[in-house]
Amino acid sequence: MEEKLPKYFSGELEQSDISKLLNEVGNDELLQKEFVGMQNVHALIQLPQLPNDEQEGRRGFQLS
Amino acid sequence: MKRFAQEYVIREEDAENIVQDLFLDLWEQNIELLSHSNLFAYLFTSVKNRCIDFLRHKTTVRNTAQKLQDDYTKALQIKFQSLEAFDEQLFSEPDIETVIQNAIESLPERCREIFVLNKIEGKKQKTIAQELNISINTVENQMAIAYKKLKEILKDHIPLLIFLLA
Repeated sequence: MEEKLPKYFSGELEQSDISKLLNEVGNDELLQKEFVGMQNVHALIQLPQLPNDEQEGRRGFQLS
Repeated sequence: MKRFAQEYVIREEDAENIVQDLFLDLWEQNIELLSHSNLFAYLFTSVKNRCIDFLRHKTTVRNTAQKLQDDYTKALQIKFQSLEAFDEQLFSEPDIETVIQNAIESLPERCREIFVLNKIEGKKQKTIAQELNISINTVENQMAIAYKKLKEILKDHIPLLIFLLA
């Protein structure tokens, strides 16, 4: 199941596989640790600024 | 007939739709109702069958929605756990963006290329496999390696991450 994690964080896992993975995460402590670690690495790498950030911010501001 | 249907499908509007649709179909197909020897039996069998189809469909939709809702709840729980493990003191690191960027830079070349295409440029794993002429398994493996290496590299740079990424 661990090998499914990168695909999960890329948003490319099929819904049926997401269900299996989340079930397994709930039952397997090691996999849960792995998930938490990968989740936090995934969140950290979202921090550096990307070229489109400013444009997206402007668009969001205009919409609201 | 509407009241009969409503006994099973519960909502008045659904019962009304079922009966109306039946009569509309009969009218469109130009079926001569009076030619049926037992009109009463014919209409009620039709309503019964339509109610069964309706209930079958509703049950499937509800079950699927419930399953999605369960998955969403499980996802929220594990996200909650992840965020609880996230130590916000991490942000006291003066230049965390540079640390992360350097960590990505220090990945092996192929691994970094695949990671950047997927996580920074937002390309699907399948697209990356086609573009780089490699198998999707290779992309998956390289992504797993990238996460593992990043975890190790970030742990070395930011001591607080030892707890966060344990």
